Amino acid sequence: MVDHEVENTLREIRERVRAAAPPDTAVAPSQPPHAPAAGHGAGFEALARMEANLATTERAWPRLPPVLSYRRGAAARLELWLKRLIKRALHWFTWEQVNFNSAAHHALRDALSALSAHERLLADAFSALLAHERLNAEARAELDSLRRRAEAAAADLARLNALHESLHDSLRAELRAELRAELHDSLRAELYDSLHGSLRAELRAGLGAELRERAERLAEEQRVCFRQLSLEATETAVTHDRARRLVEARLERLEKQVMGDG
Amino acid sequence: MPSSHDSLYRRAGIEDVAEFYRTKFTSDEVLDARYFRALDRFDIRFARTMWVYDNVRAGASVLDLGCGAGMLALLKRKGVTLVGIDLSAECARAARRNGYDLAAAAELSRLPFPDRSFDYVASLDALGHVEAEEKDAVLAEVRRVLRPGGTTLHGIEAVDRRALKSYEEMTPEELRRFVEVDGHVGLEEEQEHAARFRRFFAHVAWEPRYTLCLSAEEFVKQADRYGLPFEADFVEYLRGLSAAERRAFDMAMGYVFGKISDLHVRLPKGGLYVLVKASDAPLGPFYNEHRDRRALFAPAASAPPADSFCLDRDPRAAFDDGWYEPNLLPPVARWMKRRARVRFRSPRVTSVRLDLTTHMPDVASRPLGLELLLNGAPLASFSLFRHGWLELRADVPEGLTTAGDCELELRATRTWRPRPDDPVSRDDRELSIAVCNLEIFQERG
Repeated sequence: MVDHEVENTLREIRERVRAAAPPDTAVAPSQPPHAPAAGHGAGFEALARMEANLATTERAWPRLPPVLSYRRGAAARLELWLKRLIKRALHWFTWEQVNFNSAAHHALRDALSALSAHERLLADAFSALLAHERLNAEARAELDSLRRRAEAAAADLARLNALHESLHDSLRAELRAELRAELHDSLRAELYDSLHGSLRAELRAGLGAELRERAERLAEEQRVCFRQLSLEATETAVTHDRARRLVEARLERLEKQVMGDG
Repeated sequence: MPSSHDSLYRRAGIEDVAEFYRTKFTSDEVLDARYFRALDRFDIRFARTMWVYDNVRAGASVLDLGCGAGMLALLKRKGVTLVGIDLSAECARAARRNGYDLAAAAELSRLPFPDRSFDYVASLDALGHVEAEEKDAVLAEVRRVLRPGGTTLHGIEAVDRRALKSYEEMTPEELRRFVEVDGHVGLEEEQEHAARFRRFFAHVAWEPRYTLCLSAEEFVKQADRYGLPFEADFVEYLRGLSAAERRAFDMAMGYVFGKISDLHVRLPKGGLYVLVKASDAPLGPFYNEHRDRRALFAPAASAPPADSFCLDRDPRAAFDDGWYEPNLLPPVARWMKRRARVRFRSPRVTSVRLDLTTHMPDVASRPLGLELLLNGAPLASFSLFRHGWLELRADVPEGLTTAGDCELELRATRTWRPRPDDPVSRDDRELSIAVCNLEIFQERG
């Protein structure tokens, strides 16, 4: 159950992060081609130097021969005048160079625009990456928080389970004791009466049977003993009778002998 | 039996001497002469009894000192008047039960009889239980109650002082262990016994006996309890014998004992037992002075002239070796093995009646099958499934028997042994049923 909750929470966080993320496109065509993106160090410096050099080429490309001077005053004006003269005079000779300069200048300007656009795209992507990382960190933090909560919830659940078990046991014991007491009280008399009655009957029957059996055996033993005594008495009587008859016969013989002698 | 309660008995821790002898020597053994089997004259257990039997005149009066359960009951076969005296009243009752004409509890040194009352005064295994200081008083009483010319016959336990310490040398524990075995407080050397008799009688003869022949049980007891140096493997062999084997051994020993007597072979001093014969009159032969054993055997075949007769005590009935000696259950009954027979004579048996029982423990779950046969023909076949006594009567079909010799046979399907492993009272006899009151109904011849 806890796992499901954690999983649902993670899924929710993932969907929120996806919803908050910028579209995949890194190009920002509305920005000026030469505007450097803030915070993009080496690329932006190179583009700035290129912009400065293009200012020089832009200023110089129609001035061939040069119409500028380092001199001052009249000398400078003279010089410039001469150069203008020479410029017109040498136009047939310099126009090709001027055209080349112009083309080079414009090509470099176009390259600068393209690079600036790319630089902006990179800056945007970097910003998006940072934002994504921020969101990731937030999500991770939230995930950690959720995990901690889940662990706490699991621990709580375990405690609750243990508590439940102990409560269950104690309740069961109490219930059992109560039931036992109740049963003991309520059924004791009934059970006692019925069991006592049945046991007494069984005991009486068992004892009666045992006593009857013993009495039968004793009676049998007595019968056999009496029979033996009776037989022995008969034998003794027979022996005595024989002895008596023997004695009588001897006496008779003696009497006859005495009478004969007499 | 002893006649005083003091000194050695007390030193041995025996306060109630009569009770000591009651527990030692009272048993349910039936010694009644009417139940004696002639074959048992060879049993070494009856060797001393037979010595007295063969030395007593028929019809005489005999006093048995220390009669116990009645080892001299067989003398009744010679028609003697038999009187017994014992320290234990219960032993005296057992002697009366076994056929003594009179038996009473009294001290041997104060016999409750007038002077010159008996032709013979005998004792077996009694004077070894009388302390030396009291023996003269006992012998004086013996002399007093003997008729002139009377003879006194004694079987006395003896000792070899070279092998056994004197009572004075024994420690209290040694004395207790020694006396506890049999109650011997009056053991003396064989010649000391003879010398003591000479002080009271003019003629004394004595023979050391049991030097060679002992029962299997006695061999084991002498080795175990008295430390006699018999060969250990022989004693171990005897210890392992079954009841039937012990019986055979005892019969062989008794036979040799009897032949030594018959041949008057003088044995060397044994230190175990001495037979003493004394009188003021000149003595006859030491052995067989009045030998007449006819009364031990069945009389010449003759049928009793009655409608019925009981085989149990009838001298004409011959019980074979399928029967054990009778026991007092009560009543007196004979245990039988798996098969037992009894032979008798009758003009014509019409029916047979008997009482039987078994102590077989599992007879309720495994009924014991029994068969009764007369002259080999079955009379009855039945199963015994309870303890207690059963009366059985079987009529004999006409034509089954012929006049004359008859043989009644009982067969059982199995046997049991009461106490085969009890080290104290081992009884490994193979028993089936006990039978008594075996009556034969007949037509008068």
